[in-house]
Amino acid sequence: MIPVMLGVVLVIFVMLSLSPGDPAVQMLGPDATPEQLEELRDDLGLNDPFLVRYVKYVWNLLHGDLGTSYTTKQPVAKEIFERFPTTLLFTTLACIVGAIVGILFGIVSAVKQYTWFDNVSRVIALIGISVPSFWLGLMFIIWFSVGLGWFPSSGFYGPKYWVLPSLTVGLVQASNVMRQTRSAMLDVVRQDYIRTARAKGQSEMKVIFSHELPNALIPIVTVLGMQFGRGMGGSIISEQVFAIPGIGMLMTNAIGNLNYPVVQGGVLVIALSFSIVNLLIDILYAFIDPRIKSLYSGKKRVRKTKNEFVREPGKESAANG
Amino acid sequence: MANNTVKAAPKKNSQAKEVWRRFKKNKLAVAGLVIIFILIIAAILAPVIAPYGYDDQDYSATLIRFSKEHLLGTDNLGRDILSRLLYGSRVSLTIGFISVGIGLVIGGLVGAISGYYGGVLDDILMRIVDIIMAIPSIILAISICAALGPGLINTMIAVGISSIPNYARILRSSILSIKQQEFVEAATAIGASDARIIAKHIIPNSLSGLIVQASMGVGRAIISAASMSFVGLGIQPPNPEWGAMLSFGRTYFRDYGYMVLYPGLFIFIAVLSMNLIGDGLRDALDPRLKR
Repeated sequence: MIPVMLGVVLVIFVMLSLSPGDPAVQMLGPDATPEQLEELRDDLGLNDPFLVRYVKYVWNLLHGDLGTSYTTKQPVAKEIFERFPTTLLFTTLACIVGAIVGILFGIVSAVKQYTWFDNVSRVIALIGISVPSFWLGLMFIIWFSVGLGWFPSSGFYGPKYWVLPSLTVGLVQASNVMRQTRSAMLDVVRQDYIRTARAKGQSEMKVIFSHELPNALIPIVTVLGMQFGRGMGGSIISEQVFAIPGIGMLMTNAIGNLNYPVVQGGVLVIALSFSIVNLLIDILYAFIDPRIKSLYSGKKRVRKTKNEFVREPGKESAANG
Repeated sequence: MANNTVKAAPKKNSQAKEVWRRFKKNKLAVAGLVIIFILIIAAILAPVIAPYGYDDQDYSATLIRFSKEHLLGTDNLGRDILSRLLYGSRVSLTIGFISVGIGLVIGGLVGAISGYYGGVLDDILMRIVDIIMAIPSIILAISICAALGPGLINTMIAVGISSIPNYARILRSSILSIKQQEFVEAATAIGASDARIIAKHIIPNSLSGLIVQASMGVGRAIISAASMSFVGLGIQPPNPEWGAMLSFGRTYFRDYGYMVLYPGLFIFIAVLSMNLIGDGLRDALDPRLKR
């Protein structure tokens, strides 16, 4: 994970250093003299060779320093972590909506395959994956905020403000989750052990929730993790729609101002949290699937017994005796 | 023996026909195909069928919701929304198809090399893909676009590059499974070159996953490009890309909702059609569903 993060920093670094814009000109305006610009570039370290800047950035990064924002002169880390909880909350809420709605509809759809319920929810899910979420957000604002006046349209200050943004992103995510849940469940329902469970008279609820769902869970959890990453990334768009003061908003403004440290920091933090979620999901696999768990614990056990056997065969027999 | 060859020959030729036959049975997929064709024709014929130019401003007719002259209304500069949408389909569809092409070619190449040769090369390429995958694709596309600057070509490059890992991984995994099949071994045994084996034996057999991904990828690319225009990168005004129109209409959308309704509806219809085609292709190409 750490090499991947260093790679992410490198990629973003290369991209932004290829950028034709000059932050110094952006900061001082068009009236600045060439000397002033040169001085500022020196101050910002923009005149250093690429490699020097990269190593410096990584070194500072390891000390928890993401640099200083060009516009506000505040430490980037502080600016980002002030806004991070908002984005995290927003993404998590959306994921919760996506998981609940998606898994529920996916299960029912798979259990009642080819009924009207299945057909309707498949069509809705197809619509859901095709709709641009920012447009859906604007439509929700027109209907529920401007039209009906139920929820506020912008900001993120309390549960009332959370509803529309998390519904917008959550329903789009739910469509993806629903499709995955349905196909994963359908893969499972034709297995022999399901027939066995039915044959021994297990109740339908028990068959679905103790036999089918656990076996279908791996692809469902995988898609949930992906949705979380997409939600994090998509925050750069959806926070614009609902004027949510999170990382996405910070980054959009930073891109406009050529405020590179903030852009780098934002991408890095989002990539990092995405990686952490993926790691958690990999760990979760072990809990879901005993086969994966035994793969890891099995290896360890084999190695241990081997070592004991090779090193101290005498002791073992002594202990036994 | 003779019977066998007679049977095998026409079957090989009609592979595409067979897929098309199964695709045709899926009415929704065919509907998607028809809609995409209509949109493409509308895009090509935009100068002929659009009632106005995309940047013709008429200050005596601003913010009209509906009229005989302006079927979908006009925006705050008096530009006819229908005409802008028709011209916009040129930009949006071009971005959709070309950026998928970029991702498909580069990603396919990376995946093919990585999957076929394996070893150190595979390790290096896949680590690079891992790094790119660690950045959510929309963030990557936006950062690339921020670095390259806005504009049609840069948007296509940005969206294309951010989809490379997708295609690379799909092709790599299907090549890994195909590589072990007997017909590849047979080709190696008769002395076929690597390039020939990849092009003649491996790619055609691993294409189905890629085709499905690509057809859905067009939809995703249209949405990504629209999102980028929406936050002010991507296509710049007065160019009538659908996302840019949405972004432009956002200032007035509380009172004049139709200004954001129609462009979004066009994006939605185009993406939905591509997804329907993708779903249909997946079913048609799935060997398990073959009768």
